[in-house]
Amino acid sequence: MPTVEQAFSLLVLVIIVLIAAIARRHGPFHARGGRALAFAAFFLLPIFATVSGLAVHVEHSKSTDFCLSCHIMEKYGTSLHLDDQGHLAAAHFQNGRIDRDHACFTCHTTYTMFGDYKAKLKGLKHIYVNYLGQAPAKIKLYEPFQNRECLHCHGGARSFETQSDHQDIRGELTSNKTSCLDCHSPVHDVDHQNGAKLWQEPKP
Amino acid sequence: MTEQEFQLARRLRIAGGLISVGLVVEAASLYALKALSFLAFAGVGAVLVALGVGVFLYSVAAD
Repeated sequence: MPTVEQAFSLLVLVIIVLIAAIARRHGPFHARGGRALAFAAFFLLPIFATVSGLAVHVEHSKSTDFCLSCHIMEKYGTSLHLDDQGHLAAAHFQNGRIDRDHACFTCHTTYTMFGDYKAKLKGLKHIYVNYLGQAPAKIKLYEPFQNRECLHCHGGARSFETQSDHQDIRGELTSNKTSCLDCHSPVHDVDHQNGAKLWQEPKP
Repeated sequence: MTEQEFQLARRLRIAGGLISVGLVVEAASLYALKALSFLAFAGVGAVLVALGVGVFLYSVAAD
């Protein structure tokens, strides 16, 4: 079974061969069906390929490697490997509570590329700033962290629902009046992790 | 070959070249999970494909 990248490459190869055949001998362009073939090779298929490729890239942008490929995000990647289970993000990452390949996206589902079109535009701006602009010294979320990111997994879980502290404020947690992070912190303590011991991810 | 056919063939070659290079850039960009690869896809590949498609449509309209 070919990967999506291999399938895309095959599609590109087919389009290029078609284009080369038509451009090399433009005679068929005027023959019956020639224009339709040229329209497919020079217009429909390239646009289809580009839209498909864009979809693949958006899917790729959910990967942890993609997020951490920006220099400013490296310390957040380091925070996932802190050898201290008291750190929320590190505990989730290291104990497999989240998919390690999609660690950032799992808890930040509406952030930049992952949200609506406004969020995607912000994501494009981040890429621009990373390579061509000046990133701020300290970065922060556009809006306070939403409990729904936690409740997506923990909501309904017996271990969560039967905890008396949670039962007392369950409504406030749902409505975001009380943040999960008020009690469960630090999350990414990137300002105090220099020199900290790091967990080594075991090789499969 | 008439002058009109010569012009058409030339424009088709230009359009084909732009689209082909753009698609190759797009395909190559898919093999890296980096923000830079997305930039290459959107900023180079997609732009070249759009230019090529534009040249093709102009060729058809001018023919």
